[in-house]
Amino acid sequence: MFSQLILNSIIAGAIYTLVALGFNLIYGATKFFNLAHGVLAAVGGYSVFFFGKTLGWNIYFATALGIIFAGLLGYGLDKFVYLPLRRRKASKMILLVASLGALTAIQAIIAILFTSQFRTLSQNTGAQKIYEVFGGVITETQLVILITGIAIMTVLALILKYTMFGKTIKAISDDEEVARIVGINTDKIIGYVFFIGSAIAGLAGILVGFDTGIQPTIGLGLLLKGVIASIVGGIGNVYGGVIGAFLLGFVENFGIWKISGEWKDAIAFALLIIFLIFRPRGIMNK
Amino acid sequence: MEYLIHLAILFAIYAILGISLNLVVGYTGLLSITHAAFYGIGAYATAILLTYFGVNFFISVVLGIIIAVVISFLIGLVLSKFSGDYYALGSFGFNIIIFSIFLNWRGLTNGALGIAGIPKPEIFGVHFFSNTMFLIIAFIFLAVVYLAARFIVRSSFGRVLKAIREDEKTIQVFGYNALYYKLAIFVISAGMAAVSGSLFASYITYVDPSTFNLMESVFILVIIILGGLANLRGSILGALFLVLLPEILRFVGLPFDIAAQMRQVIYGIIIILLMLYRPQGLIGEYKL
Amino acid sequence: MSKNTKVIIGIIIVVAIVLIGYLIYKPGTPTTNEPIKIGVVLPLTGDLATYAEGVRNAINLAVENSGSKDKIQVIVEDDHGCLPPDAVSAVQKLINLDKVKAIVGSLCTGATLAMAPITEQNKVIIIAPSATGKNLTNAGGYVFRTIASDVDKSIAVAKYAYSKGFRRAALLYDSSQDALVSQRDDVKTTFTGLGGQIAIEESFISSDKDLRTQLNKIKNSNADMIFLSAVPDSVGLALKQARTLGINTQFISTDTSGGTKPVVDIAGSSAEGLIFPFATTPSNKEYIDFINNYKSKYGIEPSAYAAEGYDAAMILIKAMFASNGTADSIKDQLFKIGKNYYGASGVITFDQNGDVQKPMVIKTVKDGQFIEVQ
Repeated sequence: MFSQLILNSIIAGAIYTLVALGFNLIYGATKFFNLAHGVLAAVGGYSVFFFGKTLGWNIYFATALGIIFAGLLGYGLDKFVYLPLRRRKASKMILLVASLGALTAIQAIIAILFTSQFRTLSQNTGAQKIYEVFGGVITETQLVILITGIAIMTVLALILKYTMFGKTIKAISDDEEVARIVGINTDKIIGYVFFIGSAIAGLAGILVGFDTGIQPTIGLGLLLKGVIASIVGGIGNVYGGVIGAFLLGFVENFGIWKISGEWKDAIAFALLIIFLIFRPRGIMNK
Repeated sequence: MEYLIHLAILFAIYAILGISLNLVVGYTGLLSITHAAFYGIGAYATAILLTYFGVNFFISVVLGIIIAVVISFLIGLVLSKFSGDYYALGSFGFNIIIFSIFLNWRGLTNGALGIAGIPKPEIFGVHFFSNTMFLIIAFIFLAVVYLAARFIVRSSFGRVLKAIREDEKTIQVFGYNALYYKLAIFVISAGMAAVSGSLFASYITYVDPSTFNLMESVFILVIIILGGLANLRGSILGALFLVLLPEILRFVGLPFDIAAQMRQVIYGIIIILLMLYRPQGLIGEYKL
Repeated sequence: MSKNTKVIIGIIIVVAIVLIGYLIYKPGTPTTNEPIKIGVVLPLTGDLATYAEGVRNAINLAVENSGSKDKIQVIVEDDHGCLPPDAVSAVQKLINLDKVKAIVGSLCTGATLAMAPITEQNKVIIIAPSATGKNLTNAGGYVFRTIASDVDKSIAVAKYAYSKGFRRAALLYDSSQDALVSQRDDVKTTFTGLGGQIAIEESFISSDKDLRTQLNKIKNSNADMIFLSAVPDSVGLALKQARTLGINTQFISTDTSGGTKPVVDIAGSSAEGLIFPFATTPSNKEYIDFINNYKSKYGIEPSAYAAEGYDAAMILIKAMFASNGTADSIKDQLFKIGKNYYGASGVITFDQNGDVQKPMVIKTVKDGQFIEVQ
């Protein structure tokens, strides 16, 4: 029983990790809370639904398309909405509100195209491959989520630390003005960051679609959990988002175990507030 | 005509919410996204007191304000430690926590089942049963709130608030305790929001948690951004616009199976366009 | 131009737009040649949109099948996800602007409860196709519904469970939907009243798709069966996740949503053996006709509550044509027609409160099909 609880926490944490990774990356570079980040997960999921289930194409191909699509949409959002705003020196709050508008509009468009019906992406609904781990159970999909989360975290960390691209991102993250003065084309790099971050979000949505399912409205919920994970773990820090995500997963599930399921969201946000009071920098940041 | 009166009452409720939030966001510069929680506290206070205990509406308004003040004081204490984006996130958190309480503390609020049959206001034997009469009460409350807000804004207290918005550290150097001011205005604004809630409860005659979630707080924020921050008349204008907008869109004959969603799309696009081309809102004097 | 002037002009423009819209839109005085108007209020946006679409489609289907399509005008409004204030706005518009005499809606008890005082005051009929809350029974003389109150379903399954020998029930319910909370309360009261015990209670909210920890706790309790009160999607997820966790305990849904397609779509073979209450018998011809009708017109299976929506619209149309146009006359006709009426959603007889008592049957999922249990 206890081991299942831990596994549940890890599974939940893995999903939050994916959302947090993309979010953290974008936040690091742009320093504003992009509320539209979540809806890109829905975009990814629904793309796979469309290509994979409706059109019947190969599921891996559909997944790739979904990821790219989400990335492109995120890139587009930056280019047509956020970038012009940044050029006008808009404040973080204006960007936040604009991202809210984008969230509302995109979510409604998805609902128009696909109706609000809850959809699951998994093919074989009956027999799922499961693995027994220390007396607990984890499905194949969940294992994939976990591995993907860790893999992306590793790749991102490596990119950020060792490649030129990564160092450029870090420079922008530290001080955008200076980066620009030094000659970095910040707008272009940020565009790429949006693409990558949004693609990761799309992947998160796709995997959630396989594990449970998707609805046009899953975006905001996932995003908020991703934000909590990021802040708790250390905003702007790749490892931070991951640690925060797993911590959140644990706290939520232990909360359900000890208190009751209906308070799950309240518990998650209570965690956020506690950290904001006592350690706003998060776990990983000094 | 009845339809217009209905819209006018809704407008009054949102105008009060807008004015009260503007005091915190527009004048003091604190991005608070938890206003729906205090709206809800006022609504539930009135709902419970009127329906179960037969308390007079106007007394319930006062009690609602007191409860909102106490709770907002505690929340405000915590929030005052944050700034900027983190303030917003912290306020999100409180909104969700209070919403969960509305939803799950069934013994108090009846949870998702809601409280129905809330009676209309009554005082000195005058029973405000018609919408027109209710409209009069709503507008009286709106006028009182507006005047109170205007008084605050024009006073030296208000000047300190604006100073905090511009540069908190500097004003502290001059010996002003910023914490005290931030807390005070947060609490005052919460009390006003509770008044809105009481009006809502008695007018709609039914309350349930769904009205007081995060998206509602966001909606109130959009009202004041649209109308213009740090401008009380702007909040009134914003409320007018955003209450009328969905109604206007009802008349724009969109094909029915997507009409409702199209409204959301239009709504979202309007927000984006506003941010891109007129971030100070219609008549605001402060850009976020 | 001074700021004050700008503000005033702004306000005048906005108010002018609304007034113009209102005046242009306001229909003329209805004559006897005017089509009869039926207002519809449904959550066409929000989480419940799929069910709302189903009901709306069913209503349109009823209009077509009534044979008087040209004489009926259906005006549809959105309550944005069963939000009471929006339902109130919708009903205010329908009554005061469109001058409807009858309304079908809404999906949820909350929104309907908010509309009832207004429809009562204006003497407008309102028929709810899926609002199952107890409070609606006494909401008014002009309030009807074509779905049985939650109490009936809960009592039916509680009795069934007890009769099958189950004694220690686990309750797993969605605390964010009024109908489901109500069902949980009723099933708990009935089951314990019969002598059963509640082993454990677990809750969640419908937007939460991860029920594993709650299921875990249930697995570790000594429950011999699980009462499930959830919307179809959550039912499917609960079954699927339970199977993965190795839970083989009997699931009994307290809501008819257990008998809808999403459950099988999501849970697949894990849905086998689920028990749920249902208001129609398999031999109900009207139900089968309705499903085929719906499928041929819309290309998909009807969602939950569509059948109730169809019946509500059909009975209403018949009543309105048989009446002299006044609300009281329509009301009388509703009672007359709604007596042993064989509808798509079961046999409908309105009691004096406008409620329906539908004999409940117990069904189960076998080989992906919903069949009655003996």
